[in-house]
Amino acid sequence: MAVEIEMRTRFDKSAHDALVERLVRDGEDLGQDNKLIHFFVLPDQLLKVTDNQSTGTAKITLKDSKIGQGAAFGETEFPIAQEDVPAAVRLFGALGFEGARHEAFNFRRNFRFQGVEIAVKWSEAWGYHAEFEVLLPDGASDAAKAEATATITDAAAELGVALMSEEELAAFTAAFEAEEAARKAAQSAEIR
Amino acid sequence: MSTTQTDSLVELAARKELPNHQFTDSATVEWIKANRPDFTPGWPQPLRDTTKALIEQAAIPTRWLAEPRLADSIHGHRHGLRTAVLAALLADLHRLDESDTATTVIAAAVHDCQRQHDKDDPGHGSRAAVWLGANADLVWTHFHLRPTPTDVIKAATAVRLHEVPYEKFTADDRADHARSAQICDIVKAADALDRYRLPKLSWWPNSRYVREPAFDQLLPLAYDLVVTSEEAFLSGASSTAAVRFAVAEKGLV
Repeated sequence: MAVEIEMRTRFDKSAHDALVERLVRDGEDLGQDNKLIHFFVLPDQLLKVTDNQSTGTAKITLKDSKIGQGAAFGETEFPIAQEDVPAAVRLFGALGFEGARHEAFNFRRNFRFQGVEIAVKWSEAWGYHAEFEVLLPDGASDAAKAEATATITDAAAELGVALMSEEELAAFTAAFEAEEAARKAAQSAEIR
Repeated sequence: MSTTQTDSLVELAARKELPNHQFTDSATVEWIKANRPDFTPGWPQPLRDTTKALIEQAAIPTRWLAEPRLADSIHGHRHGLRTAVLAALLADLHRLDESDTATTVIAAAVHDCQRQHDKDDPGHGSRAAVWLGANADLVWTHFHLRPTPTDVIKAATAVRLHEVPYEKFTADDRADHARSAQICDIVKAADALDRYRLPKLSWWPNSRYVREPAFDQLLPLAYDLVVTSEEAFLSGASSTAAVRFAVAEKGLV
């Protein structure tokens, strides 16, 4: 199973614009990569069906950890046809995960900077944010993971970006999940 | 009339063949971009925090619509949310108090919710006003507020009158308008500011039809909100996400 080292940051519009300007100047612009993502937030895992709208592709991903539970994510992923996204979402819903589902459209532009893939994004839940990522091969050692984390931290420091701590990430995602649950409960009460 | 749309809205409008249900398309958005007016630079004051909170709640559920097929049409969620944002900006510009600002934003958010189609649909304002009166608790709760009878009457009046041109006001309309003139005028102006989405230049915003001194000042922002959110929608975002993205891109929240 491949391992992703992922770290995140949220910022306002002006910080977003400054980061994009810097990455265009000093990084490699990998282009627009907008995605409609169907998340199934499971107790200790994250299942995603991703419609890569900019590239016309799609994939299913299972991450063995949730945001806020460490930067290393074991990841199982395989491509599906874009037209099969609705069926995949229906299938996971029918398997009992519908209550754990929410979807998000991500406006996303990818860059590479100092060996780190940086996705600069906007979504309704996160606002403007960025994901810093290094992908490691199957069975990567703890030393390799630590080295990847340092590479990300150095790149973020060079860009003047403050990465969120695991505690901040856990608090943010917990607040979002609670809000989603309250919204669904209110909707259900209204319909009754 | 068929609701299947094969030609662009611009082409259909030119031939006077717009269908009952009208959905934007790439050619129409490119036409809107190619016809960007030569604006005088203008920028609104930052929104108050309480007004930003209203905007966060201003996307209404599709189940409130009389005709769910309009959710993504030219009178659907994107129009409703942009109108609410523009109404919020005008309310802050006029320093309305928090209660009247909320009433204004709520009226703007639901003003077209009882439409049956995207043509004139006479009476849709009256139907939405009646609906709002019957569902006031539901609507104000959605905005994390409690309605007073006065709030509901003011909002329902603005919703009812939004489709009635000033020159066609009856004596009853004038009496109703006089009781909440500022809110009515703002909702009508906000609705008119969002006309850059329409596929004919003669239908675009015109200050002749509104009573809002700041109307021209908001035109560039109204135009940019249309272009950014319509492009975002066509790239795959939901109507609500598309407008929220546009609002973020303009630094309003």
